[in-house]
Amino acid sequence: MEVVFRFLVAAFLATLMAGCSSFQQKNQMDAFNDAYAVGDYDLALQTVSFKTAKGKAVDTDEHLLDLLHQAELYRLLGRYQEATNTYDLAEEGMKNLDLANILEKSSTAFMALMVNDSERDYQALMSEAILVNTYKGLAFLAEGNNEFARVEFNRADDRTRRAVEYFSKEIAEQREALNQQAQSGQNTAAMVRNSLNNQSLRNAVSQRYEVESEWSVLPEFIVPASTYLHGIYFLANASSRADYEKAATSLTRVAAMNRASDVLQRDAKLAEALAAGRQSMAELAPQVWVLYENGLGPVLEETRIDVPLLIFHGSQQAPAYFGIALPRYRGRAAVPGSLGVLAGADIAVQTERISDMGSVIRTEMKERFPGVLARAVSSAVIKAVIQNEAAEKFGVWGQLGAAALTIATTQADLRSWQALPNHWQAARIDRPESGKLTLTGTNGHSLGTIMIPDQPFTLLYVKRPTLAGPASVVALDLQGRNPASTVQLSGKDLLTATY
Amino acid sequence: MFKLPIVFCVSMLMLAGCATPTRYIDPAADDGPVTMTMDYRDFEKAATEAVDDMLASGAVSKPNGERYIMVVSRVTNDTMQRIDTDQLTKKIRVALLRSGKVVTTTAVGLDGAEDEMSARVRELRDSEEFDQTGVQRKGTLIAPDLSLSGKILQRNHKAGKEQQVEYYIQLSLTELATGLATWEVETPIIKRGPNDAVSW
Amino acid sequence: MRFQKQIIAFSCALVLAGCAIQPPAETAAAIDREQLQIDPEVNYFVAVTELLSQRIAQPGGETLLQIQYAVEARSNGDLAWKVTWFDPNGMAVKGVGEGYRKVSLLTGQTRYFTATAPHARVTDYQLHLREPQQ
Repeated sequence: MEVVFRFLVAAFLATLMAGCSSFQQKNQMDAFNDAYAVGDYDLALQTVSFKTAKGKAVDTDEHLLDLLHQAELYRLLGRYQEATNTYDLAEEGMKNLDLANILEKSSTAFMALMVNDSERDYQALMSEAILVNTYKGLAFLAEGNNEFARVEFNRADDRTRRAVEYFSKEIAEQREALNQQAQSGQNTAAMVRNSLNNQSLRNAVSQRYEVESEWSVLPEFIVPASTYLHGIYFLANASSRADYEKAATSLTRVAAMNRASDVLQRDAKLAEALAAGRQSMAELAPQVWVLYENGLGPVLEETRIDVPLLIFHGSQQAPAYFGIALPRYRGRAAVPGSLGVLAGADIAVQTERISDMGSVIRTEMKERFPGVLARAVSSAVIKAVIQNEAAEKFGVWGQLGAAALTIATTQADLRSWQALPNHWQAARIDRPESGKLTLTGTNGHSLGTIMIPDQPFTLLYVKRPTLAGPASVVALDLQGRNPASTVQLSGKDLLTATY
Repeated sequence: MFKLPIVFCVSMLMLAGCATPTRYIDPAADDGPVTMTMDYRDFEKAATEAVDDMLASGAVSKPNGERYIMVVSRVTNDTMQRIDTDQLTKKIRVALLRSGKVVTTTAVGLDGAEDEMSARVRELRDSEEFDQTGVQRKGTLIAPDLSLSGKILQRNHKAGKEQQVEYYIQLSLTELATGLATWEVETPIIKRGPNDAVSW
Repeated sequence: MRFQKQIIAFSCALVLAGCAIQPPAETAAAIDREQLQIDPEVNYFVAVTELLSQRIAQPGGETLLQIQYAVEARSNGDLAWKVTWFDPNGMAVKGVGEGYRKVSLLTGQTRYFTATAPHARVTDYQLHLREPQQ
């Protein structure tokens, strides 16, 4: 009796907190997106800022999501030192998450079950972690710190290697943990297992996630844009055959992900020719890569599914339906068309789509989904048991109260890094003699002109989240000898924007 | 009745037990835990082996008994860790200097002189404020005959349930007159540890 | 063994005591330093089967002291070793670092290690073998 009462009190308190945190999270993300979508990065920065007491270290676990958003904004604003510092903190926060077991033993695990996943510290996706190192590498290049940039590109590569292993491990651990719980004969664990194996739940899930189309995934888990950048970075910085090999490995790997892309095939061929010694670096004209990060990345939304649970009424089993809330990715808009790169009076070279963020995230979510589902069902089972007990002990009012709590606490964790793009486009051209490159936007209107310094390898990195905002452009020296600065180009595009 | 004080005492004891005091480590007697990253012990091992080998090979002994002049070229950090490669080259420089066989020039370097003062003091040459007898004359700087360059590589693998991190410290000594690498060494440093976090 | 050490220590003390009066040049020759120092924990599982030294000629005409020793392991274990170098006056000559080099030995394995003196004036050495703490 007392136990149930305590449970209810705990659950009630938890609800208050849960209501707060998911509401706050949603509010904050909305505010961020409003500012980010119109290119007001300073305002966006305010929405994700937090206070840390003087002299105290930043709690990187707790503020991971804020740090991720802040860091990318700093990079877009051209505040590179702050960007690298903040990315360092974000990586610190992810390191701690790496260490934590997937099925945590910490107190947040209880909260996550009693309330929902949004009570846990944000669990960064592996693809987000890979991008953290990639963006940090770009920021170091912009600062002219080639040594640290190299470290970051190496880290991104190592995270890519770990990602595949990580997923297979995560799944294995979850299965093992569920099996162990089930064998230990606990009622709730058995119920969780039964529910997960339940055919109608499976149907509901596959219906909601439209299995085939929703899970259109990459054949290999990589973040193509990161691997691509790793490849061109080492191509530009190669001092030995081994470095060319490294570049060739990455560039052929990306090219294999998207056989239709001419840009990727051309780059892979160049790297292979350099690695094999068929092409000499001295004969290669100064190259300019244009990488165009376009649009807004997928975000999570909630979808609710009713799960049949078998509840014990004394010695009898009675089926009852319980709602669970699951996260699901929804794509967001991209800036239509491609970027034109105009050298002199020639015809503009158009960037071409090389990879999209959605398929990267879907690939990862497919691996993570069993864990998310298992936690949601476990949470439902525990709440069902409480509700049942409450009904037996406190009658109708008890059951009503518990049911209200259940409804309030059943929410999916919808947090994610919102500053990621919809997709990437790329092009490679010879550096024009004049060094002047004009970028044209969606309607063929000029966005502005960029001076490419006289250097052998330039990466023109362009990021444009929406048509309503400017394109952040930075001309990076891939060999990191010259620092670069970001310019915001909006040209006439803003005025003629119809989207 | 005594529950609370006992709980309090126990928790205080636990806290006291958990807190590790800050202390000095003597490099000559350090049996401390191994890290997955490269630490000073790894640099010391690599430098010791390099110098040992360099001296034994005779590559740094000038046939006429004079000292060689060495310049430190680029040592590329190709790891996942922010390393100051000077940590390695400095140890080697110090040991070579002590051996009496090699002096390192700080007046020239890939990214400019390590010590710009050699050039700066020559700007005093026509200054009326300085007693010109003490100002460095033209043609006194000595050009290097050897160049030390290298690379620190990192390769990570999954070994069973563990993570294997391999570092390779590669060094070459180039005779600048001929462009030949007269001495080379590779020191592998292999570590195996938990795979639940990244190695840096 | 222990008794022996005490005697050595005692005689060392005597020699040192004598130093105060005698001119310093003679002290170095008087110190009877053991070239090989093996800790008892190590002695338990390894045997030093060889200890060689030679002077290698250098292009400049000098010679450098080089030593080589061999250990045979009776069981698996870790070993740490360090060489301290001395000049003719018995003064220590600095090498690169002061740390011990750690090696792992397999049962029945014989391994050879070499070390080269950091300077031509080195004439003597002391090799210390110990068991690392972990």
